[in-house]
Amino acid sequence: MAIIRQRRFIEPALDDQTSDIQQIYGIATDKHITTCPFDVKGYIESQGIKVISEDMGSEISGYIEFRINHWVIAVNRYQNPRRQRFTLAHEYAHFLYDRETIQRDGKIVDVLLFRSDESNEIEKRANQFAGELLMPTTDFLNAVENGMKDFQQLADKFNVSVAAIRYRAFKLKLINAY
Amino acid sequence: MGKYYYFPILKTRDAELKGIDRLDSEVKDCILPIFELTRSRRTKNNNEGDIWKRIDQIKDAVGVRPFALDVTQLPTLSNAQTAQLLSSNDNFSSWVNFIREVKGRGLNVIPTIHFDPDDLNSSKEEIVNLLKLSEFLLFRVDVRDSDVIDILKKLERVCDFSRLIVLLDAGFQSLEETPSGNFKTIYDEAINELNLSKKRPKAIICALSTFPAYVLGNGYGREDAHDKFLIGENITNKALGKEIFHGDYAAIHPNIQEGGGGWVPRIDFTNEDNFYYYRYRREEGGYVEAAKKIIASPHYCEIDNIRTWADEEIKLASRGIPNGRNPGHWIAVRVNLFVTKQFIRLRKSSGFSL
Repeated sequence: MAIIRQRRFIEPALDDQTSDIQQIYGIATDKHITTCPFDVKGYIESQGIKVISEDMGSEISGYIEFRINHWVIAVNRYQNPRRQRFTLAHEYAHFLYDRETIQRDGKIVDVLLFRSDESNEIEKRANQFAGELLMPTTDFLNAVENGMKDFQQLADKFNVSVAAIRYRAFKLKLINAY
Repeated sequence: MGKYYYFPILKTRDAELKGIDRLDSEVKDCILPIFELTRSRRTKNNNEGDIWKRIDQIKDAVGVRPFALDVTQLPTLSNAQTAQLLSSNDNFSSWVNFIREVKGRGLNVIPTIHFDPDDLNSSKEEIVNLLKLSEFLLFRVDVRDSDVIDILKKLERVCDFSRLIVLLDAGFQSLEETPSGNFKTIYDEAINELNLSKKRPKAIICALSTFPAYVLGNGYGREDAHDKFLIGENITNKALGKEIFHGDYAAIHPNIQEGGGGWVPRIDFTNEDNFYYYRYRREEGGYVEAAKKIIASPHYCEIDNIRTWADEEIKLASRGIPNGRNPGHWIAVRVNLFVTKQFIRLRKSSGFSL
């Protein structure tokens, strides 16, 4: 449509932009956002970021993009919803940590998550944040100590993929190999 | 230059572009497509969804024929590039420079005016610059906007209407709410305003779509396998009279969402008054069964004096050798058939030259 009413750039709620998981959970609780399992889409949208699902190549999980005056996080609509949740958390980490890079380059596109070598520090940090956000250390260890040792059970509890559970268990040194 | 009779609005997705690309040249010569530029599909090797891929596809589809170009504002079909093209910074210079480059690549583009009613100076400068690149400009406005009259009055202050094609767009209108399919009154106020302007536009196009996101529903199909529903676009067009040129969304729902989960194979065809759909699950025969049923339908008849790719595709599928087994292919077929039929219907009207 030809009519353009320019939206001024609104920086997502600055006070809320924390990467501290405990603080994030506190903010989510204040905003009546579900925390168990964590409503990652609701939380990101509450930060003023647009979340969309998009038809993209199967090798792409998602991306974060700055569009002139607003932020967009997209997930591959054909991937499993649980995998999409991890992608959302991963992309949100890019927003928290890599915003300047994205504003300079326009975007970060994630081709693969859970890379075995994790040679890229930016991706490694984003994966770590996503794991902690969706499966906080204390909650994860408590669940395991309380007898929940089946990957599928844990995946159901945190509403993530089994691959994400394995990744998290590996990072928490509960298993030796991922 | 020949005359133009029909003005379909099309997003630059693969399906729409394929449907246009396969049109007979007789049809291509007499329609003026209004392309709404969308990003291309993001892949590993095209991770920004580059819009220049779409420009190349437009060139392949229309050649040197004129077409109008707008930019989508649907978030799922946008990217950083399309957002940049909509920026009002520096008098919409991103848009003007883009149009200059498109022209430079040999495309006969009629640009849309990006109009900011709250910043007339920017728009005025943009219009001056675009008019250096194109003899005519398209102005597309949503007639459902409560400010539409105010917008047209403001436009008149910064623009010579004689070099303007005005597209009054009503977007999607539901047959559930208006079963008659006549939506003429939506346009009345805006048309009156344009008739009052000092210099009437080169042409006024009224566009809408009654094509639904799902064919089943109130006002639409009642039967799961096959049924029909009205083409509100044509009913409204006839009610608007001969002075108004006809636009629509080429039998695509205006707010279409990409892809999705499960889908039932479906083929559609159209005559002057109705859309017909035939949908059969894979285990019921899928596209082949749908095509067979269409060929057998008393309402379907092949176009005999214009080569029509869509008819050929339906015929092939009815023989058990469909060229496509995905919705995108059959959307292209629907676009191709609908546009051809609209051309046949509208070529009897007066049309206009550029």
